[in-house]
Amino acid sequence: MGENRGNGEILSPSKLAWRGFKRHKLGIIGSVMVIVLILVSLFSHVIAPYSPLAMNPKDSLSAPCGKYWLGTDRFGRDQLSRLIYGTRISMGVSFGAIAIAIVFGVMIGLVSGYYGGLLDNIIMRLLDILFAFPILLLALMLVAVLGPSLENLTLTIGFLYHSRFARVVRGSVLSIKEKEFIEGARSVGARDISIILFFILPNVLSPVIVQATFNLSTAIMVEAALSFLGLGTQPPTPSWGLMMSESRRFMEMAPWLAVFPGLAIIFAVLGFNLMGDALRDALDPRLSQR
Amino acid sequence: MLRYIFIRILSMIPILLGVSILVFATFHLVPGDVVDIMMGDEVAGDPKALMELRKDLNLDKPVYVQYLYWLRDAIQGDLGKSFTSGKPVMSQILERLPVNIELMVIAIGFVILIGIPLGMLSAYKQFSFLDGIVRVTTIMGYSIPNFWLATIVVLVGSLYFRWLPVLQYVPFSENPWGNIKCMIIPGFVLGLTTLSYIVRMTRSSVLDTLRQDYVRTARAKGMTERVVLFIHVLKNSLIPVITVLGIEVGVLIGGLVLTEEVFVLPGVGRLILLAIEQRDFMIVTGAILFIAWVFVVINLIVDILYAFLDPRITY
Repeated sequence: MGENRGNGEILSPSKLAWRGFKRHKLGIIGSVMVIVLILVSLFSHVIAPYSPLAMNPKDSLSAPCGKYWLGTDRFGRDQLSRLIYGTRISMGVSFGAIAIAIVFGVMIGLVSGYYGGLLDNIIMRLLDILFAFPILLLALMLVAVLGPSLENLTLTIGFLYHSRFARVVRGSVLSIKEKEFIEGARSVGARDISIILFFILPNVLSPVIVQATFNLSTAIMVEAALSFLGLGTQPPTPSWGLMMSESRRFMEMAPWLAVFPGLAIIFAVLGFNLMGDALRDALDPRLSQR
Repeated sequence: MLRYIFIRILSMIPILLGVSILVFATFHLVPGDVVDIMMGDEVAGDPKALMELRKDLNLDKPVYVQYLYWLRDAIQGDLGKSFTSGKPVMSQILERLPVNIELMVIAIGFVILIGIPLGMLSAYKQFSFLDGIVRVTTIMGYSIPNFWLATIVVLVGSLYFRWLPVLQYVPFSENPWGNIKCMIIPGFVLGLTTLSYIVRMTRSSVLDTLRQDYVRTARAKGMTERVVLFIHVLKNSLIPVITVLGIEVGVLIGGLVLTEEVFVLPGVGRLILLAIEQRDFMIVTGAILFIAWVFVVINLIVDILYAFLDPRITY
């Protein structure tokens, strides 16, 4: 990716990134999937044909048909509507968790990387402890102790993921703070806080965005896994993972109950992964996987 | 080299301690103390007896003293006794551990035997039809939750093939062939996400290595393509792959809990899940501490292996 394309046109970094992104066909597909997910979760109440909680005992365990496109569960609740509302839960938890992770992670990473020294050392060793756990197990333990609920799930995932952002940001800060423009800012008397906020922060945003996209996909997976194990969303709230686990008892009678929530999870995770791949290639050419 | 290993082992100690502190602290977030939990909803009997019990369990001492006692026991392999069954936590873990080890070995076996060759092939034939298929399927592969795949495998197996090996786990010592038959598919399902990831890692790493000067030199010297590929390229491109594999062990451990749950295998994961349900926090914290410690040691081994493979690392 040269900055000068030979025809004399000079491209700004953001234009360059956009060009790189556009070239990535799978990335475009991924972004469309993500946009669909966001729209579905924002407008669940408009799109869903039925209420996700409305029970119709007469139509219990109905196979996919004209009335219920994706069939019904054992209470006769419409699966399509539950999946649509489940998008809201899944997106809500993962966006909420990643937002928490970004706020704390970026703050910690900036301070740790900028000031360095003993403080940096202590912070990094503390984060090492979090990295020493298999992530799902730590989540399991925390949720088990805090009690299963949507809020606790979001907080737990946020807490677990902040360390990843902290590491990424710290790494970028270490290289950026040696650049001339930081020295320049310092020489004209800028205070630390304004150097961090106005000179360093904008430059660490692209790795943060890439990291966030990938972590959104794993957060969706963790949410689904914990709900599947009965430690996340509680019934009757429609969550993809929970729907999967509820389906297991009726699997042979009603296989559609096991299939579709899984496809929803795959759709979401795939969307964020594809988008993340393209974003990484566009924003951070050094990291690109050929 | 010995010095490097020694330093790495020393640097592991604060992590092991930190892990134990985090587990202990989490345990203490549970409202009430061990005695309250043990008593459950039963109307507490004799307050004097309860006091005695608390004293026996060192609950009358300050928290950090309790932690030190707990740590001392844990280091000696005593993770306390289950609230519900009264059996030592450690022996319950050890009883179930073979299941987990076997699943991990099968999963990692698949990852290495399929993932690395496939990644190499895909890189060597970059932009070919095969490469395209590999790239698309691996993206799919790591977007599929393993508990969903496991459920579908059980569903398809039971609906269409009348195949339900999972509901009757056979220990290896009783019937080795039967045991492998019921473990091989869960092992594969467990490994699939990691497999996809390793294929992609190997592919990009091999592509990187193929562009190195020493590969051109080797070819220029007239070495056969096979020697170049398997001696020069493979060995050098495996270094980053091994690092990733070490990290992926953590993902696999998490996946174990889900795989065991769906395939109804009696491993440590289900022990933890059952304990959470019964609010038996002695088992939950004991098992999680155990697994986290093992994970730290695995990472240490990977690090040392890495130093052996990469002469550029100085120690």
